[in-house]
Amino acid sequence: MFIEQTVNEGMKISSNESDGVPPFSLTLSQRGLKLNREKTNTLQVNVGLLCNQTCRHCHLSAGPGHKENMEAEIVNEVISYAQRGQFETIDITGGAPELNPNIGKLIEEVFPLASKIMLRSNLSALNDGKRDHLINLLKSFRVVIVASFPSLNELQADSQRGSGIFQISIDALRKLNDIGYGRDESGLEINLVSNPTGAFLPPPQVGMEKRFRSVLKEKWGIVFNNLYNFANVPLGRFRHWLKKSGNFHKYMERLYSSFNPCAVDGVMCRTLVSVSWDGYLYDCDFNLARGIFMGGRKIHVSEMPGPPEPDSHIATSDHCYTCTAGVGFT
Amino acid sequence: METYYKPEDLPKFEEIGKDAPELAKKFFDYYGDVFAEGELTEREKSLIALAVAHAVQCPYCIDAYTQTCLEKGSNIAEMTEAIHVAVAIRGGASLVHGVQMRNVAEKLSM
Repeated sequence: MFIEQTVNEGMKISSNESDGVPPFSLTLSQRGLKLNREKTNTLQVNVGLLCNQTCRHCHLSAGPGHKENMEAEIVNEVISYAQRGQFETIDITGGAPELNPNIGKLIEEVFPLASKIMLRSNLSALNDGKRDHLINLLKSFRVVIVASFPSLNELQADSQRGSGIFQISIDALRKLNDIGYGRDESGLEINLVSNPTGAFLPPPQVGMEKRFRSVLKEKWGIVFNNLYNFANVPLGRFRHWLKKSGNFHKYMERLYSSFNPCAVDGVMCRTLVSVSWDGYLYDCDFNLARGIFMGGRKIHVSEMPGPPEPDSHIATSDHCYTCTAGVGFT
Repeated sequence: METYYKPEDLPKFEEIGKDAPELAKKFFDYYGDVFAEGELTEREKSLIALAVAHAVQCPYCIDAYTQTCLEKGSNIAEMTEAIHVAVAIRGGASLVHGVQMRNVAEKLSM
């Protein structure tokens, strides 16, 4: 298949890497489906690829040593865009966003501009002993924490995220519970994200959330608000692992064969715009990882008068099958 | 190397209905109903299936139900314990026949 949109050359992937799976756009058109924007209510801010972990499922190949980190000038551009865009939700991600020196300023200044601020955390960066000020800031501004927690099994979790990370995550969740996160009536929300620890799809969410709630409470006294099960996106380090382990084609076929037309209505790119550390806009964080600009056109956040127009085109590629597999991906 | 078991044969399972479609339909309908959520969850049923797959030593079933167990949310520790249940029953079934051996031996012995 060929990627026809304008792509960021540095992130480009060979165009015929997913042989055997029809182009996503063809699958949509064969079913009479269109993937266009609705009202865009979420601004996702990817503050950079710097991370303290090197997770094997990371679609951005984030890790230590990355220089891509949003600088103060771009942070100011993003804050101005949040003012112009009147988004309902600001969703801050990375890398490990905790490691960006401008993260406090970003949170403080977007807080009055949106009804919900979310921070995606790997937990270990947040609880590295140097972020007490940030933790207090998150609490003060009632920032929703979306925390990675892939498995109740320590060996499988560490295999995906790094040795010792499971126990560090448990300690971090306890600390966040201690200051009120996940507790009834605290107004402090913490949601867990579980990704499969390999080349298979995630389990049904309802049953899994029940098990996580029961086991985390019983074994460690941990509480949380919601669990989200997301499939791994075949990009970045995960794509590399799929190929190296001989799982790539089977995984792509699995995603394709699990295509659910009903999930197309609910995919996040219909209502989200993603801005990268250098200020360019994408339809989602996965297109950002792949270097496919928003709607296939390279636009800087400083050039955008407001949210993308409803009904505007969304750029797609083979990784989009991840968001339409089974019940979908939000 | 040629082998009787080929992974690419597993998706061909439905072809078994070509020359006996009514029986195949009954089997596959029944099969689907068995694994649907009931008093046991789909996750629990897939763990039982994985254990039985090892007891009957079916490579197709082991392949299929390893993936199913993972996708139903079981972890490798749980799956390994399930296999030990099958092993215990298989081992126990052999060992309990030792009682017959002892009965026969006692009858024959002075």
